[in-house]
Amino acid sequence: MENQAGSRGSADGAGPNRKPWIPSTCGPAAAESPDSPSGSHVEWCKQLIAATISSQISGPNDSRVSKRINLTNLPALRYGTQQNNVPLLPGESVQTTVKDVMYICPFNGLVNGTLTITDYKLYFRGVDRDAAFTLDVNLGVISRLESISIPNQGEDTRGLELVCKDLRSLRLAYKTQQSQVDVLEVLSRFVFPLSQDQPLFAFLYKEQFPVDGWKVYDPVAEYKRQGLPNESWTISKINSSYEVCETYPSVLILPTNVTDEDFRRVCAFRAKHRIPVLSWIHPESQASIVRCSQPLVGPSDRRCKEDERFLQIIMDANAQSHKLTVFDARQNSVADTNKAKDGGYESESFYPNVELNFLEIPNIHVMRESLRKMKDVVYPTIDEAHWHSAIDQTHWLEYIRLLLAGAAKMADKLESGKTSVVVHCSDGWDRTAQLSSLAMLMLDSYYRTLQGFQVLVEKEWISFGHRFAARVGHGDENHANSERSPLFVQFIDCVWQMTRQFPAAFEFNELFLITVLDHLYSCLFGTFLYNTEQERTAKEVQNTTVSLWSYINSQPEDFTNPFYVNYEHHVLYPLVSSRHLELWTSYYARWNPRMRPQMPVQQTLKELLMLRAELQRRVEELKRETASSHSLSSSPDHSPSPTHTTGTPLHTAV
Amino acid sequence: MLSLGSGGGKAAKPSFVSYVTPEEIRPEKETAKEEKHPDLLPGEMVFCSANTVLKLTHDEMSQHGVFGTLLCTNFRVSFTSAEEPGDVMAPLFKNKLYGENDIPLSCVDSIYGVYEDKRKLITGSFVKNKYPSKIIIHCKDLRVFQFALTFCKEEDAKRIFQGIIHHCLEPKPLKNVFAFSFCENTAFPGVQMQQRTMMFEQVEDWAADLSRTKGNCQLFTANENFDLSQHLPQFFIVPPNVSEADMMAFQGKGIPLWCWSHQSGCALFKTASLPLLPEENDQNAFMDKMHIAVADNYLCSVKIEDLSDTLPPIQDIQLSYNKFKQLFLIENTNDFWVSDMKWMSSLDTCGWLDTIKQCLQKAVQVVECLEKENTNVVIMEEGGSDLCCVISSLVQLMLDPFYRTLPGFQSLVQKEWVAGGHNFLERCNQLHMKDKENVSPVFLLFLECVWQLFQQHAPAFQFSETYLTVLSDSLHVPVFCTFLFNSPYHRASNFTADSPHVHRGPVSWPTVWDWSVQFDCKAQDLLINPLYVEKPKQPGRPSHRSKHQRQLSLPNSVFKTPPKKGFFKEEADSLKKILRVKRISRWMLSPDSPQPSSSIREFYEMWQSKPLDYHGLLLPCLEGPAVRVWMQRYLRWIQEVQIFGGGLVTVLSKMSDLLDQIQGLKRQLDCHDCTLALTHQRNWAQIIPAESDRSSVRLSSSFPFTNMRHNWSYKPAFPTGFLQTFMYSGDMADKEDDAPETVV
Repeated sequence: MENQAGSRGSADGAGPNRKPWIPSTCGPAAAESPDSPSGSHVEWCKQLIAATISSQISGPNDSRVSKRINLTNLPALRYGTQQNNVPLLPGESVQTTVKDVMYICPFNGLVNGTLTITDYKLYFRGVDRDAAFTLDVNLGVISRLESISIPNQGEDTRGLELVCKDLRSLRLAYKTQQSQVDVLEVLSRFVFPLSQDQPLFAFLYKEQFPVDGWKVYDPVAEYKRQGLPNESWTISKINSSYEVCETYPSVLILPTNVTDEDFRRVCAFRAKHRIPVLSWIHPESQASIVRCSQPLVGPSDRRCKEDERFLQIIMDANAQSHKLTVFDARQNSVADTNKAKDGGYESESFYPNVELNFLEIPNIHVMRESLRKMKDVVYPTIDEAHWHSAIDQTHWLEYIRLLLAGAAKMADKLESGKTSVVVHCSDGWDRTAQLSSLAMLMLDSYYRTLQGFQVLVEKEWISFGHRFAARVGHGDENHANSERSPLFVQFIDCVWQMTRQFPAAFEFNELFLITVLDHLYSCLFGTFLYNTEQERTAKEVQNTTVSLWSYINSQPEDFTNPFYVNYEHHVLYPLVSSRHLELWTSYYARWNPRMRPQMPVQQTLKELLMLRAELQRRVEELKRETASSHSLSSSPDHSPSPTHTTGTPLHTAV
Repeated sequence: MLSLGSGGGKAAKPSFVSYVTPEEIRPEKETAKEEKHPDLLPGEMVFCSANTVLKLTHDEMSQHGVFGTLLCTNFRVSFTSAEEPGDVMAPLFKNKLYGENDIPLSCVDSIYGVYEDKRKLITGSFVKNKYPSKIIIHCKDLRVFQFALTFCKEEDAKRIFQGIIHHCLEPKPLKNVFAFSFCENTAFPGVQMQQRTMMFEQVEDWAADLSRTKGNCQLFTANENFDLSQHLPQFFIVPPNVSEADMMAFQGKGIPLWCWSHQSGCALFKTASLPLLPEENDQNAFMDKMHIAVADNYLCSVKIEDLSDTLPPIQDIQLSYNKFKQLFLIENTNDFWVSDMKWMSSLDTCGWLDTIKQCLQKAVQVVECLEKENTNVVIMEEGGSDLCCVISSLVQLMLDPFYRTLPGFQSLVQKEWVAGGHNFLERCNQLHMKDKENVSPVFLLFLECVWQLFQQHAPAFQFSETYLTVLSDSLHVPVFCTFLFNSPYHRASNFTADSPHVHRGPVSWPTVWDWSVQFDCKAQDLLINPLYVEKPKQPGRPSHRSKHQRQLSLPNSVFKTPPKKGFFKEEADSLKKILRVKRISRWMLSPDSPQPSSSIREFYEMWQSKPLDYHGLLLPCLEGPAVRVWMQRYLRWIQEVQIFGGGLVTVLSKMSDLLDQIQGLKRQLDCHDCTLALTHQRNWAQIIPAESDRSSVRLSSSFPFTNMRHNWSYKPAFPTGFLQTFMYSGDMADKEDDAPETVV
């Protein structure tokens, strides 16, 4: 196999050395191709690294491997041009190049090289001995720039720390006199374009993908898929100019037979005017998931007859049950605090037949703090001695468990209880989005497909006004803003936990989830920009930026799970026991080179599928041959391949 | 025996079936069923029984359950019930020796009695006249049984309780272990069933292994009748300079016993250490002599590893496992959720995972010596047959792909553990000795380490996770000779001396490797790993030989950190120092840091940066998150954590199906080649099985240890409400989500 450094001699830059899996005519090579395990391991690493776009490709010691990981045939983005050996995306331009920069790598030690800053990324390439080393970090991922002091090195040595949103920190040291420009200044100009009134890179990116991702989500088509409108629910254009609720989408599903007057009253009674609207309807029982914000009950227990009736109508829309369950995502105590501040929750005594449940999920600040603690545990080195306790103390998995449990309770209510559920938190755009989208993922197998998941994110998160801009802080330098919180990351983590428990139930793979998260920050695509649909429409995001789904759907094979079987009518309840929840190390701890994944099972499966296809092809060929030799009694050009060697399989069953 | 008579009439059932394999006993099984008795094995007899015992289901502390008969035989505690829905499909993975409601006597871990709602651990000769209302049995394979005796006749209840206590907890002589009466009454075809497993009972196996690894040592046969030492195996291999006189010096202690040779010529030895007292010059001199013997002849250096310096003593291993297993011996749902809350931190506090990690780490260190530095390694400890066995087997597993095949792995266990004289009988406490000083799950620790390697590099192993789990269970099935003795001498002396078998010549006891004793063919398929990537065969050469030659040998130079040069050359060092001052020690893995693991980390990284070869060197990742809990073994019986329609099995079953199809296609192609004409046209649909019975949607994550479900009526389980109060949320919790802009 390809393991030996010595044995392969001149096989440097070995990419081309790899043989195609099964040469069409040559049997022996097929069976004995040294290709598979090691080759595909590299292939996998390539993919994973590519997904992160920024890549610490390999240590400086080993140039062989890194040469193989060559950026041009990654499933990632195509680079249009090159300038000074820096691969550039269409629309990307080099801003400055600084020589003699030192990258202080926590894993490989110090690396000398040249730093290039473009309007999209920071590109560091080692020189001399470290020539194989590259670091490619998009600027969007950087949360804050901090100069670090490097004393006793003279006035001219500066240190810089780039604290990133994806749980790593990069440290650079450079000389000021050598470079004309100040690295920190250039960087901050392009890392935080919004603070300088400059456009995000997404508006400069000029790539043309064969598929248009903006067409993925059409709300009317999606509701039609769910069987809407029907006699109880109607597709309403009441919010078409975002006048009723500026953070809601233009297309809403509302109960039929609600007068405009009643409707306005309900609006006024719900925080941010986020009225109860339908998100999903059960195809059989007609039980539905309805989302909204908290009712403005206040300390004096205000009532709103119209709101009470509104929920009654929602309950009545489902003939199977005479109950309605309201899930308040918050902790009961916090909901009470909110009530004192004019917010609140539905009182069971005012809303007949309503059952109120608190899911006890802490707020966005707790989540932010939890992820911050986790960074300390996983980066730069993994806390070895007390790994489990250290993770335990971040409480991250506990919150994941709460979210999954909450969503599973909702799904169970709908599925077994045939009861409609209403879910809200305070404003209905954070925990509400997490819970409704997770419950929908459990209930509806469509959302577990590659396309369906995109629809789910577009619908529950983007169109319903999860405040991406505020929570992520795209291009904004105010890193301490308390509105930032990793709620979408938490959601994707929950999805990942589900894919781990049900490895065959999802059409997309882990690479897809990581890619989505990387582009949550990258500002390369327009998908996650801005807070609301209204803003996106105003900025013409669809006309001026590229959708993340354009990129994904142009090469779906890279993001597809080969084990996928459609669990069509199965509701998937993830287990909410800590024993089955695990830290997503291939995302959170991926910067640690020792945590690089081993070759995953998917790769073996892909190879086997190819092998099967090849064997099927050969059998078909033989059949045709036999058929034709029967009729023509000669088949000179397709002499049977020497298939006897297939008796030595690469993979053997038993 | 206490209650031999009490079983009376029931024990009269013919239990003597001679010279038939277990498969042939079937006709008799039918008659057994009518008596509502379990199908007794040959040589098995019932000691006592009680009717109307209620077996409680593990559920919400409820009193739900099934009525039936509880009995105690010389093999097991067994519960049979007419009520038990004999429904479901025949379980795919049925053990032929014991069923799901049977507990082999040596599998009983502890017994609790519930007296008026007080749960007491029964330690043996406890209150003879009082019997509890409920017996709770914790098994070594982590099952938990609860039997209520409240509905039985008092006399029956007393008798069954005392019977179970006596046979499960009281010390007994070796001859009373069920294996003896089982084998007396059964004949096994013997050797040929063990396939290619080398038993290391014959001199040829040792010779073959020595020559396979091209070792340059001498094979000693003088101990064939244990004339030299009772501590040494019959055959063993030592460095060339060790003489027969040396063997006698300290009853075989201190002799470096060859384990395995690296292609570079260096080798791994293990030895039972001599107590090194400063005034005992004889012993010191002897040890020196032995080390020189190891070194000189190879003209290479020797590294001596005293395992007791760095690894925990076996008593600590036992303690830590005892704490760990409690996390899985779940008696009811409430317990489950309570322990679930503390799960992560309990994993750390019991230290079992850390023990596993330490062993793997030590093994990697030894591998590094052999592979990178080409140094001979001698590992030692008192006795030389506990952690020495763990480390030496792990080292061989990492270095030699032969041992990752099924026969290879079994040969390894035979070589290092069985022939190597691991005290299985004492460590597993098969005889229920009261003195627990020598009890320790050392072999299980080894299997745990193997599992860690397996879960990280599944395609490198021919055997499956299920294989490892079943092997760990088989340790407590008192039928196999493999785990019944303390040493080859112990075994031999029990066969020859006053053995009743002596007249039958060499006794053909089943070894655990004779998997047909426990499983039928179909179930045995599950012991094979569908992910295994077989080595492409080299034409004309025996495959295992060439495997060995393909070991990765790393040039020494690449390990040296390349000197940094360039602009910062002169500043780099001082910069490093400065950076380290402010909390940066975590940032720089400096080579001079006192961390002992930094060298093996580097070794791992070096190895990792090469393309992975499943037939070459295999190293485990030892970072915190990489060492996991062996889910299948520990969680298989816990209902709350079964994922219906999920788990890794969904992946594996798809792989198996695909492999079957590929085999089918290959056969078709081969068949083509023979005839060179296609006479019958076959459709794909015929080859591809329609929805096989292992269809992933139907399986649960505990497969194959739980039965399949037909329906999907499954309610998700949620933690009980009051637990929420344990939850921490801190002072952030009261903050508004979007503080600046509160309610409009």
